[in-house]
Amino acid sequence: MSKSRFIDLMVKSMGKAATEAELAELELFLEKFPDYKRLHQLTDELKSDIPATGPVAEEELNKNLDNIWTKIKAADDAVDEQPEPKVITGFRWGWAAAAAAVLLFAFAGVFYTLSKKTPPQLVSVLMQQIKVPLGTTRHLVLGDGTKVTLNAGSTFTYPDNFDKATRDVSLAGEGFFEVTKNPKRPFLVHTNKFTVRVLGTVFNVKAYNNDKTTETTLLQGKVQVQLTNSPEKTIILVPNEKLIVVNQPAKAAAANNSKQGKIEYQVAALPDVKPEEVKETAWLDKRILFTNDPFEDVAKQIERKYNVQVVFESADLKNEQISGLLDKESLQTAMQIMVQTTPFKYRFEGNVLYLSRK
Amino acid sequence: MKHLEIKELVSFIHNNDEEAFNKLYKLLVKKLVQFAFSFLDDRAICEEIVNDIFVNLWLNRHKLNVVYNPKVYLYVSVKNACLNYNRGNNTFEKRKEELSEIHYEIQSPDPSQLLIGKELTARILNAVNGLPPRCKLVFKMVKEDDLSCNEVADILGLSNKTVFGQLRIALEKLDEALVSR
Repeated sequence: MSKSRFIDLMVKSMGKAATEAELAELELFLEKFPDYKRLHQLTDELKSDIPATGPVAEEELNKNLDNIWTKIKAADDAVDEQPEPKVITGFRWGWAAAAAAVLLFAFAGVFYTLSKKTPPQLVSVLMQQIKVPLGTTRHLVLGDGTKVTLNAGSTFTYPDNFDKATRDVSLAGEGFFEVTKNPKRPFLVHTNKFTVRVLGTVFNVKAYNNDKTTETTLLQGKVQVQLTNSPEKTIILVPNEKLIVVNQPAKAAAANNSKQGKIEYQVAALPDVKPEEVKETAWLDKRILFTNDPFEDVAKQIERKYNVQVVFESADLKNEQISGLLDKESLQTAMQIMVQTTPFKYRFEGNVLYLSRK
Repeated sequence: MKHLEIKELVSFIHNNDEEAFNKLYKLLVKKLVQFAFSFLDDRAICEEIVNDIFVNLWLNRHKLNVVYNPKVYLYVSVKNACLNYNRGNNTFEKRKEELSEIHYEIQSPDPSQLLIGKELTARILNAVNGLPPRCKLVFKMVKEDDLSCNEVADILGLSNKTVFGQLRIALEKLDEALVSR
């Protein structure tokens, strides 16, 4: 009976590979040689278990678990809710193709509500593009869990998965972003006028090409905005601040004086109101909220929300300042209410809404 | 005991039991992070890797019925994720030599049950911490993570014999430390 044999047996019992006979032999060893018992006890004691989790550790575990469930939900949603994406193929779509695309999306919308689970698409191209038709909004969950809500008439381009150093998306239109935090990979929203750079925040970007201004509004966290025209300048926004960039500064400058033309952007604080009264995000609830805004701007929002074309027959009506809230009313009802407070006439001709002075 | 518990939890998870998932996470996360720490020296990345593995565990829960030994499956997942991470950074070769940095935290359990003196305890801990890296990892996995030799062999991609051999070396070193007083 050698010590070597004893160690062999211990290894086997430790590694849960010992047979009954070997375990019995080990017992015998321990009885006969009390000296060996020490090593046995010692290794037993070395078996340290996880120390009891204190309240702090427990709390942290729960926080981690919360994060995990958020990630799981995001991944689940990405599979469930991905609307039919359109792949950029590089050539220009003709009119027919564009019309077909609109039809496809309208159809996709119907199909999508009928059967919530569309199978994940096999796409070989890295970038995907989504065009939101007028009169609706779209929810998206990107590969990294970032949630995006797109307003009517927006075009949004994003990669299938974010494996580059930065997470780049581009937007023409309006989008509300809830960016998943990842300090190692900044999230960049590119628009014609500026690029918004964030790590993980909640913000709104309004960058319709046919609007007079391009805006971004920050609700949480911190964003850094770089103007396309003057890249050396970066603007940092804090929550409840809004950056407004004029879309045609050149023309405006020529019309006014050259000094004023230099002012390309302005940072404004949001009025101190309840969250549901913030103008910039009212569209998320399919509402239009306006306070002393030019009729022309409101008309743009009406066009998007109701999928109509608005034509001003009296040019000066465009600058009439109006206030109000359009919620779930039909466009007819909305117009009936609006004429009560603002002196103007309206008439519908098919899909076109004509507005004129009384 | 613990093996059965893990198997049971995993079969619950297979049937969409979120509570079982939370339990399994709390049961294993610390050990898995510790294990990942043997391959990577960045604790935050280790935690991220382990958390991602749990995310995937849930997303693939419907396929879990084909997993024969969930514990080994999780350890192997962690190891592969760590190696993949390293491949990206190409530091694994470098890291291999640094395995000796393995964090071996032995918490002496109840002191009243400790039959050896303080001085001896220190000597033993020294002996354990002085073990060659691979040997230490094997010893740690058997003792701390409650894995069998076969499982350790599966996880590390070693033969059974090697694992036994490494354990032997560990025990002999401990024995030496005990005797040479």
